[in-house]
Amino acid sequence: MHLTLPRWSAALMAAFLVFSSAACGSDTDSVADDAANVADDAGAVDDTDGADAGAEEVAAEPETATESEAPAAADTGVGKLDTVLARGDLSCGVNDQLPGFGSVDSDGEFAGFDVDFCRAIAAAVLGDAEAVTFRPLSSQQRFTALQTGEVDVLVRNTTWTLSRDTQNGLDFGPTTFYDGQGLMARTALGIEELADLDGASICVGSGTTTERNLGDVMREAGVEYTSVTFEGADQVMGSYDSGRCDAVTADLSALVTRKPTMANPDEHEILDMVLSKEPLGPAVLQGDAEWADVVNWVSFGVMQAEEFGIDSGNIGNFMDSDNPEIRRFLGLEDGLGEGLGIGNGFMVDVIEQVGNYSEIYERNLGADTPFDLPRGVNQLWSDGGLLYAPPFR
Amino acid sequence: MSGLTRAVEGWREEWATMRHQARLRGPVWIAWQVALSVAALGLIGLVVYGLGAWAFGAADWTVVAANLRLFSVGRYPADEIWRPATVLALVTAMSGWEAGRTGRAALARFFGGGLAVLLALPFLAPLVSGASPSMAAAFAAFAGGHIAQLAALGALAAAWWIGARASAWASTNRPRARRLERASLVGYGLVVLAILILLRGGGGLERVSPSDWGGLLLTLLLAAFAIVLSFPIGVLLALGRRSSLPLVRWVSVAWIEVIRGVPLVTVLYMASLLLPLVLPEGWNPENVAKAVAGLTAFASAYVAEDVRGGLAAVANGQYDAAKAVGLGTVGMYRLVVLPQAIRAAVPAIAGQFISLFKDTALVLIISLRELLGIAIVAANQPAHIGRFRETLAFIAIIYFAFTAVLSSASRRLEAPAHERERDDAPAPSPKG
Repeated sequence: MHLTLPRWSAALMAAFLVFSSAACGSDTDSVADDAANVADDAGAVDDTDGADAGAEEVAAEPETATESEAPAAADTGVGKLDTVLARGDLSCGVNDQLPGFGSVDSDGEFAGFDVDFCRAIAAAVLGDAEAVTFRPLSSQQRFTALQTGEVDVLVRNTTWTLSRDTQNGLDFGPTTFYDGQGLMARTALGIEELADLDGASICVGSGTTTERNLGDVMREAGVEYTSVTFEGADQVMGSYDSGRCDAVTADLSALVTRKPTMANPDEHEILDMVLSKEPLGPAVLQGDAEWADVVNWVSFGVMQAEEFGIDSGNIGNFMDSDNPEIRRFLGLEDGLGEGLGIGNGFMVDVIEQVGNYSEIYERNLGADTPFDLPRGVNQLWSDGGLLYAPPFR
Repeated sequence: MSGLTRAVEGWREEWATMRHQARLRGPVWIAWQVALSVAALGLIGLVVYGLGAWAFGAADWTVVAANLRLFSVGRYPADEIWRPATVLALVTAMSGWEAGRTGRAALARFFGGGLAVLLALPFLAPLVSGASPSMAAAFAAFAGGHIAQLAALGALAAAWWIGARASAWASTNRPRARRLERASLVGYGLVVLAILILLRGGGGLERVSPSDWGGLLLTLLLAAFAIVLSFPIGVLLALGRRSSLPLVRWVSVAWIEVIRGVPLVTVLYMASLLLPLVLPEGWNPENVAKAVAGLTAFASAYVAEDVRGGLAAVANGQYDAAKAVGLGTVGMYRLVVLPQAIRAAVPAIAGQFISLFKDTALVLIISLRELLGIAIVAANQPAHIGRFRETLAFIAIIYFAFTAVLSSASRRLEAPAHERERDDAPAPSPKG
């Protein structure tokens, strides 16, 4: 075999070259590849977006920032919306390892709350909720993927923060899910407030905003604790379950989805306290207002649909509605879609093919799922929640 | 069979040695030995019992049974499964042909053995059905892929037979042999092209983006490409390191030392994030291609050091002899030095490739979903949240099956190397 390898490989290498050049041929339409932009952000490891890391980065690369941002906007004379329309396919960056928000089912299909927002955008822009190429992204890769144009929009449980908005060159859309950091502890410990955690050991993911928040909150409260850090949510939860720590901290949504998988779910309780604000929503590359508008208004649209009481089942009844607001919303009057550069009936496609906010929520996180996550603040403003869509007019 | 008798022979020998030692060292030593053995056996028993109790009791293997397609081909579309199945048959046929034609059967054994292990699983289902219905169901689910695997095994056997015929046909006739050799090489190239076209699509076939490739398919593809590409690069680097041209030497040394001084994870990140920087604008290769580039760069540095070790083992007289018969530098290396150096390096290189096969799991961090990635993805499905132990245990078995076959194949590769070494050695040294 050792004698054949070199001969095989000559042929293979030629094939590989053909293969890779073919690969780039098909990618030429992603004009937004801005190499300089990658360098600018290669160091920006997400989730550690603390002030120190941010400051370092700014200090280290002021010239590249000014050099790269400007051509980034200039080069992309063709907007993202036109690119997507021409390609006939939306490239959406998602998580495939967060049950409820983004996962892959046994048929290889993506499913989840975030995933459905990708489908909604595809339905609005292209009229087909299935015209999406999902790109599973790690938390380190997600911003680079956006900057290189590999994905058109990022819907990957990404927290909207100031430094991400500025230093990573992103534009965040409306918050689609208000999450917050919570604590889960063993019921037997009888913990009611932060002070009860004095001397406790707490499992937490290393290098995340979660770890920083915990430190901040505990220092503020003057509580001594031992943090036991792990890489990745699975290890954090597994270690807590096997008794490595007294309590565990993570986003509330994650705690809720993980609790049923504990060896004895009844022995744990999610404490009634929120340590941080984690507004999750879609993000697009900065400097393309037209595309950002589309993403924003589609996200608002699914909320507005719930407010109007329009869902995929009853939308037919609304097509001859007399209510001028609903007529505008469904594109029967005024041509709101034209302003966005897409079809006037874009919300009809979204609601028919994906559904309104309530449907998306119930399908992925609601009572029929293993999570049975209460809506909490993720209700319409009219129901006492935080979801508030600006008027469609 | 001979392996079994050899093992029995080994145990018998060991037992004899122990009895001999016991007679020599006395009762205290015996008591000590017995205590140690009991303790060790107890520990092993505990671990095996614990694993067994979990595997047949608490473990819920439905996550494996439900996701077999993900484990084998990732998100490759269901309607197009025949394409990876055909690719498997093409690859096994190629390895069978090579085995039949040249007698070098390492690859054929690798694929044949790995497939045989996968094929055997469904027959275990009745055995465990009483103890663990979910595991039995998982094993039984394998039967669905049987046609593809059987076809691949059949292709291997048929190609092996035809290859052997062809080799016999050409054995008496020099030009015929050369034509056969050349035809096979062209054939290999064409098969590799066909594989890529089949997997990617195009020319009437539906296009399947490489980012949808996954599972065992992706693991084997990454390993195969990285192994085959890194070998020649590694040989060139090893030669470059010994070159008398300073620039070539420096570049080779820098390449080897930088890559060997950096973790594979870093190399993969660089391939994923920095490669698009170096390449001309608008040229953003697929993630799979970037991963192959990273793995190849990494493996080539290690292969280079293995080959350098092999080069050092070639006696200086060989160089002089090659020059004496009028060979130039290229001829000297190609015909005299490299064949001996590579033969000496085969054990090290084989070990390197086995570890590369497992290293492919690291592409997880650049969002490729090979076996390990699928194991994590599957355990994050709402229906199977947290079933990591099951999915990880399952892929551990797959990794073990393939690496075990790979290492046994590489042992076979080494054995003839030693024998040939002896044949090459100068005639009987003056022995008393």
